[in-house]
Amino acid sequence: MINEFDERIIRYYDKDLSVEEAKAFELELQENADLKKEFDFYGALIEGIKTEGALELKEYIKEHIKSEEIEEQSNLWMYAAASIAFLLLSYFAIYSYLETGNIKEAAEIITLKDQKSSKFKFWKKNNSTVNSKFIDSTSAYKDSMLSLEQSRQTDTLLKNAIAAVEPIAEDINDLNLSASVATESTKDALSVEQGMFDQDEAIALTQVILIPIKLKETENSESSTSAQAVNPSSVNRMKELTPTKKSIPRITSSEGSVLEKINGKDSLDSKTQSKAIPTFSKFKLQNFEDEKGEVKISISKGKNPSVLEITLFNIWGVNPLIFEISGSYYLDLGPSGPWVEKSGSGIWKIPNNTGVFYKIEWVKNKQIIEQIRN
Amino acid sequence: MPSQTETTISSLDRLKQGDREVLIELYKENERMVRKYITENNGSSDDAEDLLQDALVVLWQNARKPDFELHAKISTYLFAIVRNQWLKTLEKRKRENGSLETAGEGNPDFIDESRMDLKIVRDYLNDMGELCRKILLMYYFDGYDMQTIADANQLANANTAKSKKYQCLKDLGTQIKSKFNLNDFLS
Repeated sequence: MINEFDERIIRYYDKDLSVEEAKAFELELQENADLKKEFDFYGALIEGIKTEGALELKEYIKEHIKSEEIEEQSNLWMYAAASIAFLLLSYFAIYSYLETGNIKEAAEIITLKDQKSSKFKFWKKNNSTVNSKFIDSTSAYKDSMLSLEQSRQTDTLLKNAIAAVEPIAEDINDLNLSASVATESTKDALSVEQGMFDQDEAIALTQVILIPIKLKETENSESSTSAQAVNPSSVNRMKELTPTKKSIPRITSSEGSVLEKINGKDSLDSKTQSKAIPTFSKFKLQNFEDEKGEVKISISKGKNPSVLEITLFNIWGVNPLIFEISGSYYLDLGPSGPWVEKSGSGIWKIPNNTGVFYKIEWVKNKQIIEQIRN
Repeated sequence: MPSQTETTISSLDRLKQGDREVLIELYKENERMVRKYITENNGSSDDAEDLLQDALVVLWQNARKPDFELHAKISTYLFAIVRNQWLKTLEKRKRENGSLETAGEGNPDFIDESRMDLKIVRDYLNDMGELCRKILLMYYFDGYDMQTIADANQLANANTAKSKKYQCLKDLGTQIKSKFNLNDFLS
């Protein structure tokens, strides 16, 4: 019997009854207790459905708010990580710039891209062909720099003296001498020359800029056939300046003919040498200590053909300097060093060819040694 | 940039179309204001969250009513619901406890989850088939019309949906009646 009420009750709740039907139903509700119970029962069902819907919707809102908060937190972490990465990158770039003084190189570091993985690497590409660990040897060369600076100052005096006697010596064509030595301290010069130098790690670099001493023989000299006077001045000058020149400790020059006579073994004939050995406007010296500990010297030409790059491996020279004597170049690592134990002079004749030299043969010719050291 | 009125109309339209994402947007837009009000009036952050969610539920249900008209911004409407409900909650707690000291404890009872009869209905509703459950919720909670319900549930037409809804409600009643005495259930 109660079930018979169902349809009207449901229609009443659904507002499907007409106004008259609804009024009649409401009157009946007041009189019929069973109908009222059934009516309340359906009311509870509908209220329960609404409650379930409301709770479900609230749960939906909660879950979405929560997931968005988590996402925002993740984004915060991501932003934090990105910021840290950016700061590290900036630090690295600035550090690199301060180290190399080369903004282009610093930029290369931070933009170097691994083509395979399409990921950015934050380290620097090693262009070096030598697996070596560089040791800052700047301090070891300070004395050398000082010495060379003194030489340069003395040389300036020499130049002034030459200028003073030049008019007098114009008609004398015995020997022609012009000499100067310039040095640049390490880092300033490095920043300029960095592009020409493949050793990326070369931070402390000793440069010896040599404007070679050209000694040209006179026409009546025995070995003057190919020598051309750069400055057709002056036997007198030479003669007069010889004592002064001897006071220059490191950069020295001597008459090619004399050397040739003295040093048939170590000195090349000036005729052939002037053709064979180019004149280098600059030498780059740098000192490395590699892991193998092998003593060797590497010679290569820089991008600029007039620059000769000399890398010393595991050789700890004191005051390393370059000398030119009659067209031959000599590297003087100083009188004291490991070579002393094996009676080595510490003076090495820079060979005509480039390459890596493992067996260092020291100059034995006393005259040359004396010429350089004195 | 749309005006606030345009935003309100847009949001209401989306609500009528059943876009629940609007609720999340409205929650975020109004959360700070509601939280400030509730926490300054003896409530907690949990109370604020609960009340705002309840207010959004009310908005969701009302938005689809044919006679529903909104003459203010949605945020004003939501705040009015929250404020009224919170005052009722405070009054109820004051009556029950004699003081406001416990006002921050527990959830506001906007939606009464404590009634046993409603819990039984919800349990049985969730035990029903998915189609019945969905039709009943769409009709009685969401307030969709029969055509929308028919379309959403791949039913032939509105009449089919109406018959199905009637049958589902009757089945729910029958299930509960088979387990409970009507007097006990309603007491």
